[in-house]
Amino acid sequence: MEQEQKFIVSSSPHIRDVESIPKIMWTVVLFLAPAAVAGCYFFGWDRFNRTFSFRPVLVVLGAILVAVATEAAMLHLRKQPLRRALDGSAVITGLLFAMVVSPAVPWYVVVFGSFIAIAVGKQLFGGLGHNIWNPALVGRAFVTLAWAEPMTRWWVEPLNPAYATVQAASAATPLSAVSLSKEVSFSIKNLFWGYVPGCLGETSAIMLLLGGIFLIIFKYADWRVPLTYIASTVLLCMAIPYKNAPQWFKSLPWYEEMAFYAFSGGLFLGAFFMATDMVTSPITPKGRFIFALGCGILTALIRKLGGYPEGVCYSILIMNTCVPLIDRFTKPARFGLSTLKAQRQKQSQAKAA
Amino acid sequence: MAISVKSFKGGVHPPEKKELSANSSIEVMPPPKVVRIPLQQHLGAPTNPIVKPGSTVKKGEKIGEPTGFVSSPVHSSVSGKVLEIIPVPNIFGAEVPAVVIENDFNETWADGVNVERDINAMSTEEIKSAVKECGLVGMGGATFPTHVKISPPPNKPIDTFIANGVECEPYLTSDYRLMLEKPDEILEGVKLLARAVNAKRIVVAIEANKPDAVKLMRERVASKNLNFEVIQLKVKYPQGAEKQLIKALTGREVPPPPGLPMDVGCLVQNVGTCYAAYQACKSNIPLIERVVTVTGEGVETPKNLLCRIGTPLKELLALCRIKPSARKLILGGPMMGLAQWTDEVPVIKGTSGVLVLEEVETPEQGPCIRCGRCVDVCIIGLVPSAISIAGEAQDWDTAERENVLDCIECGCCTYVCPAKRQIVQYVKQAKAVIMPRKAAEAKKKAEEEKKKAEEASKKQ
Repeated sequence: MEQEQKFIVSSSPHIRDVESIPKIMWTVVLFLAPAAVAGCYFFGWDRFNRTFSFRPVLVVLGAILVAVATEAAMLHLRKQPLRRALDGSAVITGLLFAMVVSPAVPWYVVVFGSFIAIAVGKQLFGGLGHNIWNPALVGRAFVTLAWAEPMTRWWVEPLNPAYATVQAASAATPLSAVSLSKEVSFSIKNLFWGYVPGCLGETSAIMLLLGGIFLIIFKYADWRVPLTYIASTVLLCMAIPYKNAPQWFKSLPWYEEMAFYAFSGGLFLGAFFMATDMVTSPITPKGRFIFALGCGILTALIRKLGGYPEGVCYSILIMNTCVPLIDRFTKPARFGLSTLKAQRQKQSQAKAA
Repeated sequence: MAISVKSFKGGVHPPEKKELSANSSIEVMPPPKVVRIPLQQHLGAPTNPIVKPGSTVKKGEKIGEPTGFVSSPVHSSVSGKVLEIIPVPNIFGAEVPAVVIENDFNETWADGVNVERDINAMSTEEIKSAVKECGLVGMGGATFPTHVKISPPPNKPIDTFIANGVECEPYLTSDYRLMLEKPDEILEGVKLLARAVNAKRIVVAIEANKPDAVKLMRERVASKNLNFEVIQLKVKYPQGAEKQLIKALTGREVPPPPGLPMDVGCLVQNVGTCYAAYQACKSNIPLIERVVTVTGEGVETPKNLLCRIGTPLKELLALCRIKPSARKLILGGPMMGLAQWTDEVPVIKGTSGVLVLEEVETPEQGPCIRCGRCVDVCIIGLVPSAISIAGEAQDWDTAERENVLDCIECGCCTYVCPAKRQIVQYVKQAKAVIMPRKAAEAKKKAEEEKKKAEEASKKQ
């Protein structure tokens, strides 16, 4: 029977939720923005000379620009639709990369790091959804190895950034001060707000916390991940003492010591925005818990026993590597399997009898 | 009575859209001039036509004889003359032989049909026979022959009978209207079917978004002094899926396929089927008409129509005034319904709704970003993302290892997917590849075993 097709045929379901990849990605950008803006203020504004340096802003914009351009170029080479470069995921990578480097790093660190993050960390694996490691952290791991000096030494004071003399007289981050036994003290209040030397977007615990809470409310992050990650890092850090901590640190009461471990370094940024990256974390709630626990333990071990004062970046990268394995062993319970097992047991018992 | 709202793990909350047709009383649709009654309207073996072109048939007369146990007879829904037996489009986009009957509008009942019987005096065997002879199948959409469901093997006794009035698919209201307008008949049908399987616990399950139906059913149950439980369930899709319903009401989990509700002592029947069972037992009226919700943004006047089996969809659409902007014609609800390419498809026993949608969103499929939403909503405990990735690569072995055959295609994963992946489509493809392969393997194995047994007996 030959008939004209009148209606469109497709597989069910015929209605879809409003959620989409660009919506998720751009919302994450929005929730990351407060911490990045805070970083630009802390490391841009000079409260003594009352001048503003655009250096941190340029680092952020430069990293985003390079990330999006690299994404577009790679998509073009891979013959993929170019509009995917604007789905927000490359912007997240660029922004995150800028947030995990010192605002004083040379321009080529920003450019190469952001390029490696997208080109190697993401597109070489097949683009969005196919990468094993968090792309921004791949970029950071690369530049840390390639340009160790600016990445680990060139820190600037908040609200008094001295970019011109950073190579000669750089500041100490809270974690490096403690692990290198420097008598430079930091108040918990400054750590909470972010008035401490460090990576561009990692210092303001409050802004990261706010963004992270929104991320959880919007269901773009599983609350288990940041909670488990931060709690396990802090508890394990409490359990393992520093070999020779400075006097000011030893005199901190236990609750301030806990707050110090939580608010310093990249823990909040990593726990709320990197360990929760959907692509590179496990797919089941149970798996995400194990993943976050692993991140927390590794971070504490690196901080206390390793060669670096901070371990968030490598901890997450190592746990990213374990994700396929975690996924494999944390599959959800198959519906009806318990009944099937009970049935089989009954049968075998009946046979035995 | 405490109101407990029970539920299950997973599921989604799509917009309900029931308001479009919920307040339209069931309207008797004028019988069409010509009906086209497919000879297969159920899951299982087809029926053989027992009428010839030119012969006259009466309303309720059997025209298709079942060819196996898992099969169900087909009856004429009008009185008139058989014009021809030709293939017509079926709901799966293929064709099925159908008996085309010209209506003489005399509405002459066949002999022995539409007679009064004392349902309380009927034995369980008589109930089963009436259900079988009247061609009852699951009217919720699965169309599994009812007499098979109420004839469990002796080692699988049924202790719980569940009348399914959940109707969790968005838009659909046919079960809801039937519960409001024919509550006594439904309850009598429930009583009959529960008696046929000797169930001790009898539950009428209704979703909490139909409080008036719950209230009415409770009143009728009380006034009839029945020991039925009328239970409200949480508004969540797919609350009405058989396995999820059993889990919510009894805590029992039906084992994975080929596991059946009878494996955990349960029997679930749609309220429409219960109503049909009442008619079959009380008056010997076969399943020749049913309530169909015609709804969606693509029709001007959504209705609940009582229409004859075999009525072409285009007559329903004309009655409800289809809009020129209509782009998609779906049999069933928006979550599990089957999109039709033509409105020549006739209404069959499993047609619960005709959904007409205007704008068709055909989103481009993106890469899986492993957000895990599909895992969270999956009611079967699968990892739909893994199935979709395997499906995209045509890697059916991996799909099978991911238990794709357990999937009931409820569509929750695909509904929530932010990458707009066609997960259900991959599942359907995977099943179409794996199931025949498994059947062939099983056949081969059986043959080998038979051979071995023969050889062994020869040696002896």
